[in-house]
Amino acid sequence: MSAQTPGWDAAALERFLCRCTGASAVAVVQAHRLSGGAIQENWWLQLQPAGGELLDVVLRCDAASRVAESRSRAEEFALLQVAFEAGVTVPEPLWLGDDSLGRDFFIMRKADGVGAGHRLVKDPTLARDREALAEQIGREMARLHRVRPPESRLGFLPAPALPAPDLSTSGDSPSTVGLRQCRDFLDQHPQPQPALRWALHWLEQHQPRWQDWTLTHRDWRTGNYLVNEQGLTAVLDWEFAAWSDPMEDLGWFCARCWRFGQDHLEAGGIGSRAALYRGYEDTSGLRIDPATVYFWEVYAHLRWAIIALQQASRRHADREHALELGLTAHIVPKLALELLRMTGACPPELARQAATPTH
Amino acid sequence: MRIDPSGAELLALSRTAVLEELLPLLPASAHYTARMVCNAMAIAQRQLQAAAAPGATLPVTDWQAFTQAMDAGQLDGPDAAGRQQLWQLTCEQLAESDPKALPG
Repeated sequence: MSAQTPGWDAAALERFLCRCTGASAVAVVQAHRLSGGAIQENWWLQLQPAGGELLDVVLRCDAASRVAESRSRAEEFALLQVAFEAGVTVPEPLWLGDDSLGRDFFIMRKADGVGAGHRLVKDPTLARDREALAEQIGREMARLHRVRPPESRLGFLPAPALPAPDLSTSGDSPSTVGLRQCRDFLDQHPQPQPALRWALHWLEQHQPRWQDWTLTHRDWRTGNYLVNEQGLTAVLDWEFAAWSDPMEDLGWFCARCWRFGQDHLEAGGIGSRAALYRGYEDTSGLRIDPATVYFWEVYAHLRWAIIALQQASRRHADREHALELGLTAHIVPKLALELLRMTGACPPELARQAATPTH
Repeated sequence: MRIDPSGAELLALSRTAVLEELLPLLPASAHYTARMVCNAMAIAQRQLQAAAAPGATLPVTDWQAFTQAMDAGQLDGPDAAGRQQLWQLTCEQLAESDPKALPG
């Protein structure tokens, strides 16, 4: 945490909090900036409403030097609301900000826990029962995937390519839409990226036959949720949420690139794939097809490689983070190697294959 | 004719100086940036060393033709040579960017 002073009008914030809570006065007893990205600021505030109990909240706002980003605070607030109502363990969204602070913000209840992926996979005191954690995450994903289009509060999301009601158009599958975006990016990239193109070609030839359109997180991985000693306390970072096939979330979570070196723990580097699937299947009533999840794990590596290239291309416009952004391009070869192993373009003894967990 | 020590060697020497002499003097808040600098130097050093050695992969213009053939499905069959080139190129890139991640 940081002892920085918030750069907003404290009196304006307190008036806003009075309107939200109905209290005659709300004092901000403490304010500490939490670690986070450069695009948003997260502040832990301890509030004392007159005649009420202390309340720990997080105020999330645009940074003073805002840049174009994927989601506005209002959109993020709506996603949290929908996820919260679906029973997903997210910080409870409390109040969407107005123009009181001169920048967009919202306030959510503070969730305790640790989120750093490198620390979680190595610290056994966090979420002591890792199999239970993996199973819980499976259940949480299944709850999120119950949210189906249309959802009026999520009109800002790109519309799912559903068939027209009169079937005049057949629609597209989530994988077709996603792969088209990947191809569009690679077509305009100045370097040929042959390994990524090979993976794209493989994915285009192996699209799952049965797909669905549900609300998906699309960045649900170790490092983007909080845990305490008992288990999961909050799923965070909803910036990439979109309508897609629910198996995309499972593929992203199990992708080897997101296991933080604990490659034998196929569910996010924290537990077994069997436990994750068990939680998901028990809550959803569905049976997971391992080949489908394998497709989305391959897709996860391609998508992460493309994101890395996109981030690297921003180094010319973002001088402050130019070195970090430039280095991001250098994670692509490792992702490319994994893609070749997963798609059979490697020495046979190094090839990966779809994992079938024993239930 | 270039002056010795080479660019690659200068990067190696500079990286050692940053790690062993500067990093211990920096506040903790600056350590992440210092390590990124060292990582970038190591990558640059390896790229310079690799550039000095002949590579076994196709030049960029040929890769564009290669990917066009790939998109047309010409590597879908048991075209071991084409896939082997992909593997070799990726290993060469990984040897520069992150050699610890090379298999074996």
